[in-house]
Amino acid sequence: MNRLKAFFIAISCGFSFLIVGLFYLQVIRGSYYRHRSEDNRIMVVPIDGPRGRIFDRTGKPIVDNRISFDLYVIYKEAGDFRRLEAFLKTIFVNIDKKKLLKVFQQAKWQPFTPTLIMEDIGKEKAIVLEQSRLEYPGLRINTRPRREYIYGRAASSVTGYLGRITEKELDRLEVYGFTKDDYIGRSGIEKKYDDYLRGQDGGLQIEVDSRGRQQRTLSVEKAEPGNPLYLTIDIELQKFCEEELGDKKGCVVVMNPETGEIYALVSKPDFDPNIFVTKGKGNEIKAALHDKRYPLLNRCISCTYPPGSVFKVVTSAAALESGKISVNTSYQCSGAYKLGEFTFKCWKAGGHGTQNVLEAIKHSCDVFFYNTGLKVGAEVIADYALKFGYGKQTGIDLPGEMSGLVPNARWKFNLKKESWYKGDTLNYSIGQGYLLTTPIQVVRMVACIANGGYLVKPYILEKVGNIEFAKHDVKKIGLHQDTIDMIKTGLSKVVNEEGGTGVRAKLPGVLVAGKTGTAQTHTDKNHGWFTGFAPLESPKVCFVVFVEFGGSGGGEASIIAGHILSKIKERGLL
Amino acid sequence: MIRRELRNVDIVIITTVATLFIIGLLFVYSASRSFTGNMSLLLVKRQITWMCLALFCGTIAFLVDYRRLIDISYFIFAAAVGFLIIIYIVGEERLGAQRWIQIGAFGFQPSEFMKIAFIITLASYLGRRKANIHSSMNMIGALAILSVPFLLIVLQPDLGTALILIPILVSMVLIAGVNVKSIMYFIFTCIIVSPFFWHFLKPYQKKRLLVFINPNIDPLGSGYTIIQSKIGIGSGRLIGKGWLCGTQGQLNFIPERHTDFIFSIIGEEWGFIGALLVLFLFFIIVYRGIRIVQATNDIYGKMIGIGVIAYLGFQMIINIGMTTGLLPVVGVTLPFISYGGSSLVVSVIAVALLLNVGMRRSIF
Repeated sequence: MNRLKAFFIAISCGFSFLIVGLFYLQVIRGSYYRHRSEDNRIMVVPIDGPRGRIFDRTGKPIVDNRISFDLYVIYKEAGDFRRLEAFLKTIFVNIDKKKLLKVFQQAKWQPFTPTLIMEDIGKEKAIVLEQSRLEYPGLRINTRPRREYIYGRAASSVTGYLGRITEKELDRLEVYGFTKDDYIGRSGIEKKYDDYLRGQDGGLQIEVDSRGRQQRTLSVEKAEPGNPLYLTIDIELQKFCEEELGDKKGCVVVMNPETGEIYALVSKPDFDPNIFVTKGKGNEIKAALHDKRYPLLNRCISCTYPPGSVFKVVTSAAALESGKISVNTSYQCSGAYKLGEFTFKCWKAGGHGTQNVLEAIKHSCDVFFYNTGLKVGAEVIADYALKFGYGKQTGIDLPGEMSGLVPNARWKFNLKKESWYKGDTLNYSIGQGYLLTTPIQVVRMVACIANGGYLVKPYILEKVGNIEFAKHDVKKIGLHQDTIDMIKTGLSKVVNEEGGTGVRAKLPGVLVAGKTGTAQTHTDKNHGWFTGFAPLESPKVCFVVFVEFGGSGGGEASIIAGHILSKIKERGLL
Repeated sequence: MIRRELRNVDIVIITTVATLFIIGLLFVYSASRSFTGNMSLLLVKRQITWMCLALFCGTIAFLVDYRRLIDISYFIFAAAVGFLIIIYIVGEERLGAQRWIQIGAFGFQPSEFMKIAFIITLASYLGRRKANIHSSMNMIGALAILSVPFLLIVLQPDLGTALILIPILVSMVLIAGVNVKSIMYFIFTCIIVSPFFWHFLKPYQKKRLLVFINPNIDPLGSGYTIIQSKIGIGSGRLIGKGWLCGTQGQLNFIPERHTDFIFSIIGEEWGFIGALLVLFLFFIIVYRGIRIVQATNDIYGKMIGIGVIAYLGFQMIINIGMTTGLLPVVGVTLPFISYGGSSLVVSVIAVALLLNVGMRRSIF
């Protein structure tokens, strides 16, 4: 027991040692230390590492950072709240008194740390306030870089938008250097390449006296800006396409068929990404998030639709390649096709008469393709659909891409417990039925014809800083040159010959090739597609225009395509 | 069977620990206010989450008969050593040292768990030699058990956690009944040999020792922390500046202020009175703990009890000593109060073991 006592005494000595030490520090030398603590206050000023800027293919900035002036108050230095409030009212005439009171209450809980009063007050007001700091010592102006989407909604389908980081995300991402004030990309390029775009914050540790005046700098950590991104997008073309679609719902994609570079990608309805990074836009943000028309959804890649008649390109290819038809094969169209007790109509009531495949493409004759499709069979059609890149993601560098659906007999049986009917094949051949595609898949299909049979990987990011990022990914799908030539001829007739369904897309001086599509929906209004490429001989661009509930492909979609082609020519991309 | 013994549970210790934890939450909040901004409760929430985990582990440590733990002590020891070795392979460097394993949002520090493993293992060893406890061979045996974890931890490098093992060892060996001479020889040797270890210290550790003697040789570097911590505590004077009103703490001035240096904030905001309060609460734990050790007749219980008291008591002394400049800076946390999951969980398990021993003392 003596040992236990000895232990107790030893540990009690330790305690006493501390008590004596504390007494000395706090009671005896207390006033000395109090004095010292008031003389050297340390302030940490964060230096923001700005987010990387985003440029289009001509080097024009699309997304930039601008300086935002934020007003803060430091409770302990502010003194008389009423006086400060009166002063602020002279500068911000419409200031909310209740909100200001709330801010002051909040500031009490962090008496030495700056509390935010108002964000983004503008340069003029910032200057006035900075000049008044001697009279109103608690005020502080802090500058921050803020994201600016120079072209607003026009580029929003490509750029995406930013959002504030949530607590849950911070838990997971803190180890990678994220802090509580960070913004993180939520869609588009901002999300896909968030890692490259993020800058690194630095900081300044300065010693200030009790009035907040800087005495000396203790340490600096430099901030690093994020990497600049150079896109393949031509912003003038992008803007034009966005204006062309106007209030309609739909999309436009313009691509280089050889390389996969995306010149323009527009999805409508869209939104202005600036609302997410500007203070006071809460209502607009809510509206955008809850809008039943889904403006935040990128219809080019994230929505699947029945392709309608544009799919006849695949049916033609399947039929020609498998030898089931040749350029001399012809079928008679009298406006309808009978299958057992069912009648499948052609879009032209009186029929097209006798046609071969070239004319059938030109007129988009359903009956011709009903015949062809049956001869080829659904399995082969499905095979070629997959070859042309349907049913899987294209790999475009935007988040949220859907794969679409390429149906076949086994799929149908697994899902619906029904066998495949001939009627299904008929629908398949004209791009209706269970088939679902995204607009980006459609433009890739047409690129395949344009470039001589290669499946390209569409991409938007060309360079990060000075480093080439794009890897031109092409895959040969194995079509005979004859097939390609024949389809090309058919597509040219669609636009350039009288009677073709896509004549409204004709461009003087340039041979445009294309295919219209009218996809039936469950309402009485159809979706309109128009996809194609130009110039015929050596294609430099390919495109797809899709108008939700836009009537026939030969209507609005083709007209829009025609205008866009003019602009493309103007931009020198042809 | 257990219900009868629950009457023996030391409620005082439980309330004291709870009070210390709540004080800890208050000051983690104050300390982290200025860098968490509008997520000000972030660290507090995490600390509460850790406490839930700690209570879960603690309950197990409390309900399981401690003698069972003694039985599997070698397994526990091997597991703890195993974790320390794993750290070399997958651990991350933070603040220049390899001490943590990251699991999701939480860091896990195996050296902390080594303390518990060491206490249990040494208790098992000494208890078994009860018959011949006087012999100096036991001292050597105890040192052998110390050597492997001590080396592994020191090489991380984590001098503080390794050093705590020494007073734990000395206390346990003393109460066990090993002859005093060999203990004295050991302490003596430590003092003589310590200058030679100077070579093995890393540069920053050397600086810390130099700066302990005279902080002003490097006022903006290693001496910085200690000067500012003293200013913080000293400027609290008798009654402190008030919660959340500490200027040294709020102004991002003391590094690690929510972990190792949290006592600076307590001293600054609650003054001498607050500091005494914390010391008093720890003293209660030590006092009640010693009473438990005195009351129990089982040697294993005594060993575990004294090991836990030595761990909590000396770690507190070293931590507060460090923040007041009375001892050199070695990185140890203030039990129950400092922010940090591993420290909290291990401290709670330690107290649970102490209560465990206290509860079952009437069996013997």
